[in-house]
Amino acid sequence: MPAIESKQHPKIWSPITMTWKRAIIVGATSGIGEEIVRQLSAQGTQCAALGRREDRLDQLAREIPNLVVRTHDVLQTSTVPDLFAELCRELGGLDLIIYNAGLLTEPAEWEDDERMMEINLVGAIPWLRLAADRFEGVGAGTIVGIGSVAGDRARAGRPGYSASKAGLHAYLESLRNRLSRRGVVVSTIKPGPVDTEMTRHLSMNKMPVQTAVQILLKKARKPGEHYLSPVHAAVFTILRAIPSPIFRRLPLE
Amino acid sequence: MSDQSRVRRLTGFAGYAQADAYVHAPQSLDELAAILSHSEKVVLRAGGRSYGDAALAPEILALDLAQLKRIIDFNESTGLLTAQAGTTLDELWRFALPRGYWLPVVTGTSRTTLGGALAMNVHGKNQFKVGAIGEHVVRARWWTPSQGWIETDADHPDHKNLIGSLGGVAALGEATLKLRKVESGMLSVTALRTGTWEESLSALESGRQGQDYAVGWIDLFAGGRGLLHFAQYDPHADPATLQRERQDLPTRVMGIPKSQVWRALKILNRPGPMRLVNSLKWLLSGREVGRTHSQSLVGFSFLLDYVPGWERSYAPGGLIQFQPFVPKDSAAEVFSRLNEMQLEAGQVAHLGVLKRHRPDEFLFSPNLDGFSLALDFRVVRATEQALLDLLHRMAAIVFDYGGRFYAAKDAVLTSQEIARMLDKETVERWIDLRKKYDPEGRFTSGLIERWGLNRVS
Repeated sequence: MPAIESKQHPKIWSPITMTWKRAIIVGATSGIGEEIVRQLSAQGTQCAALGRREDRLDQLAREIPNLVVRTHDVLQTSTVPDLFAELCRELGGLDLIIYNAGLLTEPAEWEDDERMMEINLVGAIPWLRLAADRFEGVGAGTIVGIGSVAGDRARAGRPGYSASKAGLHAYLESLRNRLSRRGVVVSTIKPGPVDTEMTRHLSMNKMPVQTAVQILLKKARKPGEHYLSPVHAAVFTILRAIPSPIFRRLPLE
Repeated sequence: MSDQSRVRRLTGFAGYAQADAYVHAPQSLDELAAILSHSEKVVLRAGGRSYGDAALAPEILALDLAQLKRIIDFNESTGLLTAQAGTTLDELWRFALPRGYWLPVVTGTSRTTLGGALAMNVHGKNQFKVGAIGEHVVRARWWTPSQGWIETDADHPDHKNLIGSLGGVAALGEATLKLRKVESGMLSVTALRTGTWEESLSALESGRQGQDYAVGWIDLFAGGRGLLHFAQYDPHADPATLQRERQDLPTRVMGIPKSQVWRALKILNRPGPMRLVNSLKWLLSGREVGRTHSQSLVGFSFLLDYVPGWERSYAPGGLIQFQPFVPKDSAAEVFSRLNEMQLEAGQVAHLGVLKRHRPDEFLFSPNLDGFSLALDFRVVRATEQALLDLLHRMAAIVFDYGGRFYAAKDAVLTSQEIARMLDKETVERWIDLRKKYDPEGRFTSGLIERWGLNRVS
């Protein structure tokens, strides 16, 4: 006996409902990324959370209904194109991508620097590039990279970390120059110290992660490079302007 | 199929339904067949003039047939024209009219393609007289997943199933249409003004006798008063009017360049001004009432092309078109009730268009012995949910009276609601058709999924 099954199909997305309806967050298993997933989901964005640690993803999935989760190691760049398309299918589209995967370690050996370059910069490239190619054709979308104030000036102590973040800033700037005329927002967020696992070993003034993410998500809607506090904006604007011969004589570690 | 640079945002004609998909436009019928035989899920698209989500679906391959627009054959003595699926009605009339023929059925925009027209079995302001376009399709060639290319004609058992199958089982390659011979490019048009719903419906009913076209514009802000137009092919007008340049639409509307008119519309496109616009239109129509005037076929037919990009005046939310088809005896009651509901809810259609229909046997046909009322609702973020609620409440009443809806227009009805208009026989026809031609369900669309047609068994 023919019968129409009564399961209701989800409504086709309409432009009016919201700008960020569906998002991919790469590096969502701790700190800023995890908090981004929480806050976006609370606003009604359907998120796909990616990270290395399965237990943390499971925990997040239990906490947030309908969350799409995938374990992903950003060093496995060759898997990204298929995974990217698969996630877009699962989400029913894509409006926002945030690359947040990041590593900050004490650079004891050169391999530590290399690892930071790979996770913070090389791992970002396929995600950002695929999103750029897609959003350019669509004529809409937001690309967010989590950089760092450490990418503004390379201080003596962290060559790998600073280089990776400076590289990420440049990569995003190039995408922004390519896409801002096409209706795509490319936004670079440069947090200072935020109170997360990554910065636990650092003794300095840190911004609470909830506050940081609230500001971050607000600023990410506009193209450009953004600091999370006016103090940072002022200090780093000055620091960036200091000529190298003077900068290297400053008492900064 | 994961090349992100091929993703485009596809939009329905009304701008409300959207989806991002991997778009590819085959350059030949052979390429179309080759791609189809190797792809998983596909949504077919060409003109994109369906109001809702019939020509889009998220994150799958969207085959854009717009490049397949060759006119293959025309016989001047029989009026039989064969063209590929992506040919637009615009291209067809420009070819046919100088040769003394007009399209038997046209939609309100000339950007509709043959492929879309057959998939949706479109109709025009003459459906009451000549039926929908399917009745004028002599032959059609389709690509199907199970049998490759097949050809159907009026005697083929699936001809009236494949026409109207919503692009859900076969892709049209080419079709042969029987065109209508015309002596001139003009219609003689008569206008009539009405004051109430009852009057509008009975005047359309009596006025259509002996006419080729009949259509009514209804002011929903003022309880169903309207302006009706009847038109007849004019055999006595100057044959020179068959030439294209005598048909082209004016480049200015009320002194404003045509390409800019949508901006003016955008300013007016809110309830207060629209109430005024509707009233003015009704009042000013006094000048043409009771007199017969001559109008070009193109001018009368393609009203939606007068203002290019008119749909942009509804941005960013778009509009929803809601078009119930209601049996003739209950039409006055249903339409006036729907009108009252809109007034009560404070969401009144900015435009209402009334037409008369006759039943036919095509799959998923909305056509019945009665009237249809096409309503345009502007979607605004703050009231979107309230509007959807209103539309679903209105749909329930339409179904209570045995009414139907039209796939090319619908953007909101759910599978449960649609189940109320699909009788057992229709569902069986659809299931058999799918089993025969597309057993794996390769063809899909937002509409097919929303109506639950991919899940029936």
